[in-house]
Amino acid sequence: MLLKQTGLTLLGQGAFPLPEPVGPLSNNLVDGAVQALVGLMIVFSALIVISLFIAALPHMLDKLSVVWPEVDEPAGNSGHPDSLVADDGAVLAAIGFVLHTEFQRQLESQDSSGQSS
Amino acid sequence: MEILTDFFETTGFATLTLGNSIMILIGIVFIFLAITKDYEPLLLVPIGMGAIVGNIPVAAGMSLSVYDEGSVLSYLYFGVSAGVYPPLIFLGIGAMTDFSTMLSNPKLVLLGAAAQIGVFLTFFGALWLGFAPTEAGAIGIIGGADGPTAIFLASKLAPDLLGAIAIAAYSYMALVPVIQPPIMKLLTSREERLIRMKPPRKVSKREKMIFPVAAFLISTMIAPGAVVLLGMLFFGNLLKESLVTERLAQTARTAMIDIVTILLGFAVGASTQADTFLRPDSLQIFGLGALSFAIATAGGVLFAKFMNLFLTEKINPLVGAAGVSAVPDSARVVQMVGQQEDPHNFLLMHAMAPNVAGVVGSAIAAGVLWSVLT
Repeated sequence: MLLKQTGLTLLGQGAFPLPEPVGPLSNNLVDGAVQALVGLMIVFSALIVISLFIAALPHMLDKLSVVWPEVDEPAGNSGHPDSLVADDGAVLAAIGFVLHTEFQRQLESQDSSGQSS
Repeated sequence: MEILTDFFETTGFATLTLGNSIMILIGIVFIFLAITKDYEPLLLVPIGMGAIVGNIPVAAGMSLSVYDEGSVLSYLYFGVSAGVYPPLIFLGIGAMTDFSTMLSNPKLVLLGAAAQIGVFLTFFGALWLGFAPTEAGAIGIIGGADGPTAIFLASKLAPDLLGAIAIAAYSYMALVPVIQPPIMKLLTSREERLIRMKPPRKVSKREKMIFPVAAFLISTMIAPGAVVLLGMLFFGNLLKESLVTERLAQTARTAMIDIVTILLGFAVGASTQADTFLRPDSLQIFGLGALSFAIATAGGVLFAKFMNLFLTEKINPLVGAAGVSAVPDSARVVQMVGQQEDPHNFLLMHAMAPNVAGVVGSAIAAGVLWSVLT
């Protein structure tokens, strides 16, 4: 029943509206358990497909860049101050700073342990 | 004297019930928590003030409450009852969300799906407690830890429970720093909490532009019920990432989302009138909501541990807790718990991936429940 309500099925029927109501569901707990399980599987399916698409996207773009090369973005177009996550430049700078600090700390600890031994 | 007596009978003092007093007190507590503890102030202040306004008793015949046809509050509440506000909030969320971390590490998307186990187990639990299937679906979505999604689904499936569900959803979102850490620590060893993850790779602009359109097509083809929420979420993100509609994106993520948040919070608060809110059902909803949230957190953490059985580059299982959406609070909690073990471990960027995947996952879960239960 759940499978019949996916967009692919509706598209196959020549329509893409919201699914038609299928009537009241049984209050039976077994039905509820099946609905919960299948519902979770649908969520997983959607996010697995999205995940696979994301994983494949760089490879697709690599092939596409032969025909349609990506141009450098104008400097003014990078980043939004209100983003939930800082944009790439700031992120890379932060990561670089953290790595630098961490390496310095490790070098210092190695030096001090070498001196003590 | 008779005039004075008649006047007194029209005042709130004459008709104030114990229930109204309790709800006004709850509203004051929300405002107090928002101001003193900084718990989701952007939501709890409007909801708290709305609860106070909605519980002032009015004389019979005066059309003032959200449930009185033609009242000003009823027009504001229309945006809630018709499910208009939540998609608009999703538009703003989309315009402020950066999916880069998710795009750089796609396997973390699965943690956003795993956390939705809280939604479906609570759906089953609510059925077991005797709620109707539509009510059970609306209660279960609290585990998605996404206020707009919970309000959207409740308005469609169980309008009578909307006030309790909205309050529960936002309360638990505000309590993320309290609820999640004990569960995260209980389910992970110290060694697991110390795991360091590889820095995310750089994501190209082109990837970020293609993603919203492709992800929308994929997710709504599989779960068409999510078309409204995900359509607005990814539309907002496209406005941001296209780089040619910066003005629209700026408006969506600032002025527009603020206006809708004010209206939504206030209208939901005003709908929590004592006679509709103070019922045994509400207590059960709060209990189930807490359970849902805890299961969702545990689901994300345990699934990360499960993935580690097969991965060569291990995931810090703490980031699984961010799959409950609650953006960005649950990601901040992951960072905080991780740094308690290792102050030099920076998990925030990694936690943002399941966090935004959780938003998508909970919207899909809502779409599935809406499709099936109507």
